[in-house]
Amino acid sequence: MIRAMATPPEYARAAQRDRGLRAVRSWTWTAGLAGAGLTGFLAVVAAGSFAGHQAAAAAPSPTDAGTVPDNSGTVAPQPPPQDSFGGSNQPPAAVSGGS
Amino acid sequence: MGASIDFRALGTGVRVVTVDPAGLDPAVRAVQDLLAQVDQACSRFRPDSELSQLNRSAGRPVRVSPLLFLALTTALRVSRMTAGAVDPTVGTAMRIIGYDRDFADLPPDGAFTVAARPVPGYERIRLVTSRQEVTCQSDVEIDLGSSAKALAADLAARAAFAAAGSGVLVSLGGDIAVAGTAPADGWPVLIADDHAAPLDGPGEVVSISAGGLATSSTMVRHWRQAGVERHHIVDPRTGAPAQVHWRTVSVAAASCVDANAAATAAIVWGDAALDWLERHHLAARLVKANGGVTRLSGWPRAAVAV
Repeated sequence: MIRAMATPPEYARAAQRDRGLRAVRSWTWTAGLAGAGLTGFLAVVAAGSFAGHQAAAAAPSPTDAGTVPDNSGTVAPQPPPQDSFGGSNQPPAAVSGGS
Repeated sequence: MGASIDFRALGTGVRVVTVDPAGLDPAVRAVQDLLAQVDQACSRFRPDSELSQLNRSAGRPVRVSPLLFLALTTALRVSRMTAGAVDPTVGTAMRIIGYDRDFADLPPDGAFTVAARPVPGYERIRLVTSRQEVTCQSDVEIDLGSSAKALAADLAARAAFAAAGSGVLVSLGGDIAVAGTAPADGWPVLIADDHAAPLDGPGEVVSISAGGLATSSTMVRHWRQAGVERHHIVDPRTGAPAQVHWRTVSVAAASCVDANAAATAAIVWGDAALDWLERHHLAARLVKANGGVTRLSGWPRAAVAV
C-alpha cells in the first residue's frame, strides 16, 4: 500500500496556513479583550461625567452653617409635612411675597 | 411672638424671627455669616464671586467650593423637577432683557440690545461630584437666581436654629424657611404680591410649622426696556420674561427650595401648572393677572389678618 505523503512544498503551505490561523486567532482575542477593556473604560468615563447629572449620590455638603438633607436624588417636589400648614388668624410674623 | 429683626442682604429684605428672644442675636449672626458665604459663592453681580469666575471659565473644568457645588446641584435638581421651566442657564437671557446689574442700579428704561432667544439649557452644565468640579459650555452663563435664594433660606433657618436653640423663621425676600419647634399655632405668614408689604397690610394669613413657603411674582422687579415692560422671571423656552397668566403664585412645600421651584415654574407654565401642582400635592395659591384667586391641594380658605 502506498501512503500519500505530503511533499515538502505542500508541508510548507500547510504550516504557513496554520501560522496564519494562529495569527488570526491571536488578533481576534486581542481585539476582543481590547474592546471589552475600552467598553469598561468608556462606561466609567460616562458614569463619571454625564452632562447635567452627578457622578454619585451627593453627600450632604458641609458649609460653615451645617448641612442640608441630601434630597438631590428626589426629583419630585415634596409637599409639606402633614398638619404643618393651614390657615391662621394670628397677626403675621412675616410676609411671603415676590422679591 | 418671640423676637424679630429686619435687615438687607443678597439685594433683598431679610427677616429673622425666633421663638425665644434670647436666641435672636446668635441666630442673626449665624444668618448673616451664611448669607455672606452665599453672596461670595453665588452672586452674578459680584465680579469676584465664585460664580462670576465660573462664568468666565470658557468651558474649562473648575473646582468649586462645597457651597457653590451645593447651589449648582440644587439648581440642576430644580431644573429636572420642573422639566426645565426653572433653568440656571438664563444668565445671558437676563442680560439681554436688561437685568445686568443689581436691581437697585437698573435704569428705569434701559436700551434694547438684541432679540431674546431660548436659553442654552441646564444639560450643558456638567457636575462631577467626586472632584467637586463643574464644567459649563462656553455659551452658558449661569444665574442661580431664585433657587440659590431659596436654598439660602433653608440653610439660614438651620444655621439660625442651631445657634438660637429655639424655633426660628427666616425670610429672604419673602422666601420663608422654618426650623426647630414652631409656636403652638405655627408661624403666621401674610401672603402678598410683594414681600415688602407691611405686616399689618391686607391679605390672607397662613400658618407653617415645618418646611418652606415661597411666593413668586411678576409684580416686583419689573422695569422697562426701550419702552417694553419687563419682569425678572424668564421663560427658558423663549429667553424672554414669561407671559403673565398668574401674576403671583405662593406654594408650601417640605423645603423652601421645593416651594420656590414650584411657584416659579407655575408662573412660567401658566394654566398648565394647576395639574402639576395638584399631582404633587403642593398647597398653592395662584393669583391671575386680573386678581382672581385659585387655591389648590389644601391651601386654606381666606383667613384675613387681624
